[in-house]
Amino acid sequence: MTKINTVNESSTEALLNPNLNRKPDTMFKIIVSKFFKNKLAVIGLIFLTIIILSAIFAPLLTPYTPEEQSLRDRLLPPSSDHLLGTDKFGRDIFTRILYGGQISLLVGFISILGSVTIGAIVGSIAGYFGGIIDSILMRIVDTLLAVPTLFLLITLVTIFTPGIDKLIYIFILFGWLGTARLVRAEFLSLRTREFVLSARTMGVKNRSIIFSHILPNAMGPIIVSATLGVGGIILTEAALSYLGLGIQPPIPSWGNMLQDAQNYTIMLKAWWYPTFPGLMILITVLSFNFIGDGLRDAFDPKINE
Amino acid sequence: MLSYIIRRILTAIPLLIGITLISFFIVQIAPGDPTSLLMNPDIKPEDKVKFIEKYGLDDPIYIQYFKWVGNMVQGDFGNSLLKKGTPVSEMIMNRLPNTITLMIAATIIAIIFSILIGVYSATRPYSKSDYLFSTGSFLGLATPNFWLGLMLIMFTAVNLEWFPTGGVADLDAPFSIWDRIHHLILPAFVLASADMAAYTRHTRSSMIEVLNQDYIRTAKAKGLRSRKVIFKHGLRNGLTPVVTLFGLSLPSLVGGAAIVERVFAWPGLGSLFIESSFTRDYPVIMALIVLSSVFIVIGNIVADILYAVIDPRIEY
Amino acid sequence: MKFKKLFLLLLALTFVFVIAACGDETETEEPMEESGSETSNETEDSKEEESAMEDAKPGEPKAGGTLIVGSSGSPTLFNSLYSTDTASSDIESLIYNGLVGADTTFATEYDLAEDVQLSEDGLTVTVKIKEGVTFHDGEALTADDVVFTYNVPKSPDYVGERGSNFDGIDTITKIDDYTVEFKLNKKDATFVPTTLSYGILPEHILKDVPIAELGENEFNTKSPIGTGPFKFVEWKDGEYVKVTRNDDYFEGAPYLDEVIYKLVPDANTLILQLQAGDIDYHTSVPSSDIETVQGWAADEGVEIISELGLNYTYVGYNQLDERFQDKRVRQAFTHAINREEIVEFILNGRGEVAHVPESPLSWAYNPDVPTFEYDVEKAKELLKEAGWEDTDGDGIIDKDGKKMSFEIKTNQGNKAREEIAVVLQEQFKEIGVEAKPNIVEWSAFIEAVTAPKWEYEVLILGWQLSTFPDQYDIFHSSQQEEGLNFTWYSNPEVDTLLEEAKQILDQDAYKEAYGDIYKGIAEDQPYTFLYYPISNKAIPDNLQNYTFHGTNDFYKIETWWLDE
Repeated sequence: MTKINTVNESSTEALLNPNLNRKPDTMFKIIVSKFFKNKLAVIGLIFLTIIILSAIFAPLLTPYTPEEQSLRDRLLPPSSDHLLGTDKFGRDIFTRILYGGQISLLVGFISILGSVTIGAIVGSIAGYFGGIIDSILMRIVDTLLAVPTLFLLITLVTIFTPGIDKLIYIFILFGWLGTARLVRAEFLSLRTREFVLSARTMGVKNRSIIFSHILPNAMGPIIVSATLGVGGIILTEAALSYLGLGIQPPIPSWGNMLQDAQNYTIMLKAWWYPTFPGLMILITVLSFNFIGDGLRDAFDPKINE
Repeated sequence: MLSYIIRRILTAIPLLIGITLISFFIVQIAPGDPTSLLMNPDIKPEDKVKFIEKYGLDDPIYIQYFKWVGNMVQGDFGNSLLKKGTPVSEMIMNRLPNTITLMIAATIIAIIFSILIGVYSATRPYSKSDYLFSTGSFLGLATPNFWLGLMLIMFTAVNLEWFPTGGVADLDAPFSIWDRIHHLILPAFVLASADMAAYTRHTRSSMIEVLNQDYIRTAKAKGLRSRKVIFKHGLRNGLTPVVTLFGLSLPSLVGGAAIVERVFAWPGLGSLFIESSFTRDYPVIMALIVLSSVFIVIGNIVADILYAVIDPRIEY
Repeated sequence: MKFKKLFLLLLALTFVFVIAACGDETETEEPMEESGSETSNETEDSKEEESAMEDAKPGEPKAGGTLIVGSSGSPTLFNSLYSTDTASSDIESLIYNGLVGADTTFATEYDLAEDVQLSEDGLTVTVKIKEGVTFHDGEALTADDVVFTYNVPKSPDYVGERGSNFDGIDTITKIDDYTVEFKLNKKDATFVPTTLSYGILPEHILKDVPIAELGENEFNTKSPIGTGPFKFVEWKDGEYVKVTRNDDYFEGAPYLDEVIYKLVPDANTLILQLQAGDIDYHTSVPSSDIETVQGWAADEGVEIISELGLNYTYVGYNQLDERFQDKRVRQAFTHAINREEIVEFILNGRGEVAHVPESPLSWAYNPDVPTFEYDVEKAKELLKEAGWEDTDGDGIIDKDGKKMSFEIKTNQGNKAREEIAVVLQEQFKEIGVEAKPNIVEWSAFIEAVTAPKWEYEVLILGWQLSTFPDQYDIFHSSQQEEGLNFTWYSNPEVDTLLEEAKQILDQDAYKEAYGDIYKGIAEDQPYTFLYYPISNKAIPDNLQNYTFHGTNDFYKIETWWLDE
């Protein structure tokens, strides 16, 4: 779902352009110190770090592999052998959550990286050049934004069999729109600033102005929207999984694990099975939101330290 | 004001054209011909040809497009491939009221909760209760809504028997408003849960901003009761971002409604969309993408106009 | 000339809807009324007594009450000449009658037909129709209606998917008001049980509709009229279909006032609705949930009835792929698959291991065939014999530079199959075979695996069996290019046996011939036959006279009644 987008869109309006007059390193220090004063953001960062590290080092943390089955040991409650119990194939849920985290986070990060890159490029071009280019690009963005993303995702995923790669392409295809708008808005307000005008008169190339002069100043909102976006992707994958259109078994993702556990009997008799993947989604998305929120406040000069 | 509204509507026209292009071509990129997916693999080849001719699927693509748009402008979305002979417009009209009801109810719930929580938090920023509510409102955002829906059905509908398990009304009871509302509460709440977080956050931050402004301080200093000040002066200004946000959250509301409708067996357009995607009933898919997008475009225009009405600082 | 549809491809809108379904098979059957053998000559009366006695409890049947049936599939239209999904056929069975049906043993029983006579050469079928049957609008059913109905799919203007079922008919002639004669172009044992089972349409209402437009006529969706036990009331798309008692039903008015067919797309919500009493009758409780449901069934007034369904699930090997052309390889795979474990764990023990492509419910069932029990060592031996060994030490067997590594394709939405695919991956690993599950959305799946693409290596699928046993469409080599033999199985001996069986009109001889066919097919293992699933029905415990039927969830519904 694009739940998260609604949050980051409006961050533009909250964000005046970052403090251009200050030196970058002091600015950075201020942002960092503001961020670390926000308790929720720090908690989110700690949780997320733990989650990411344990996903990366999954093979060291568990003696099992995510595919390893043992039908005789299915649906065992949490124990010392199986920290979070086993699923309906007797696979270790803890292990699958770790490996599933690799997939879910990977899909989230790559999709967002792709979206942000495309969005930044399109947004910069539109905002910097303005005129017809801007109108055309923004009409395209507006049009795509008007179509409910989930509908497009469902249609595309039913047309193309959902593999991890295709899912990422599709997320990128519809993920860059918000960023493009955001970056364009930043550019519109920055391009008439003195330092841009003087760079132009000095004959600096457009590409260089865009990427070395303006874009760095627009990084704040981009980072905020990217952070919130990762959480959004994880939720969207879960929603697609609910319809059987997410990442396909036996590859674990948090979304398809949760969907696997969405079974009447399992929910009643094996509480650990839906609970832990659900909790992971919840904690991770919350963390991303807290961090994003913290970053937004930190980048926002209106909010005092 | 009027000229602003007209201008706003005119800019929507290229958008609408773009939307029809997207809806049409997203279906065209599907591999294979649309009939093969719908049909019994055992159909006689000559019968298949008849289908293709009948639905004009052998025309060049651009002709198919113009035919489709032409008919659509006259209110004809074609016939369902699956429910042969049933006009798509009829299927949509049957379900539209349900979806509208659900979305309005969800929006009302989201706004009421977010105002209550947002204003409360804004008056005590960075207090324990502020943190508690902030986290609480994020929970709704971070919970997959199909999971939340099933859990609520299990505990509040089956175990506690507070609510019905799904559908829009009791099938073996006569029509009653109360019965309808009773069926509406759970799905509307689940749908609202996602937007509540965003609304609450924005109400809170804009209220904090407004409450810090001089005129509010002055009002307070003059001895006006603080609750009155908050509601009379603060709320109006605090609400403006929520209106913008409402426009922006429409696409996710429509998408989210699809999942919620499915979980709660709610016969709306979202569940129709999911059914049609699985069965590749292309005329229905295309019509629903166009309609929901048009709805979103209109919603955004309305939100913009409302914004202009509410915010005294903006003049047109 | 093709005579199709004996085994029926699960054109399965239902699957698609059972997205969150869990547990067992929810295979879709085609909306065909039942068929069986024409040698049955039981009379209607004796059968009614039988079914009444089966469940007879003290107390007189009482009229009244509403039965709410839950379904996760959504119907499309109510006309069996055009519809292809289970939900539609369920409702059609309430509204219409065919000339013949099938009883609980799948023997043909007469429905609207009074008598069916075959000529010596088997090419002329004379059907006498019951007198005094009326449509829901009061018009009498006559031979004209039968002739009309059967002429629709024969017409060159017909746009529908059922045409192939009627290819065997040369002419349809009205002899008198209550007699119709069918001239066939080929002797065909399946004609009476299958082709004569389509619901009869009212000529007086539809005669002026051009046949080209009949499939889209409002009759099918807004005002279907048949001769069945219930009259159509309304269809609220996405909500329910309501039918009400036909007081003039020719078998006697039903006791139930109304049947509401409620549409609940999410399978979990469907069970929760059963528990909350929002639906009364659940026609396919997943095996994985059955124990839980039994836990509260008594408290909620629900009774569970579990019996074998008329279907089986199999693993099919694409024999266009040369790796699967050696029968020793296929036999080895069957040895490597632990079917007992699959039944025990995936179906919760609710199924039987299968060895032949016919259900134990059928009169033609004959399990006297070579079997390939779970035996990993034997599997490895057979593979070695066939030249498959791990020569490069990567843990995967290979031959002539080709690796035994493939994808197991199955459709998404059927939890049991998805789970089998995952389990097979592990079981195949034991014999050095790499199998990767590939779960595909239903329509894409069917498009990929069937003619003319055959884009798969190994698949898991099920066949909903027709009540009349015939394997021609699936295992005869003539059915590769266009038919249902999409595994490209070919064995000239089996071909001959199948052709000969088609000409046999005597049931015992037919069964014997099929014994040999099953032996041939089992020896070749074009499929690994996995299991026959048990189907679980949940009904209200005060529902009297309910009769379990392998393919018809509303069998003799006119005799059902609700006790206080």
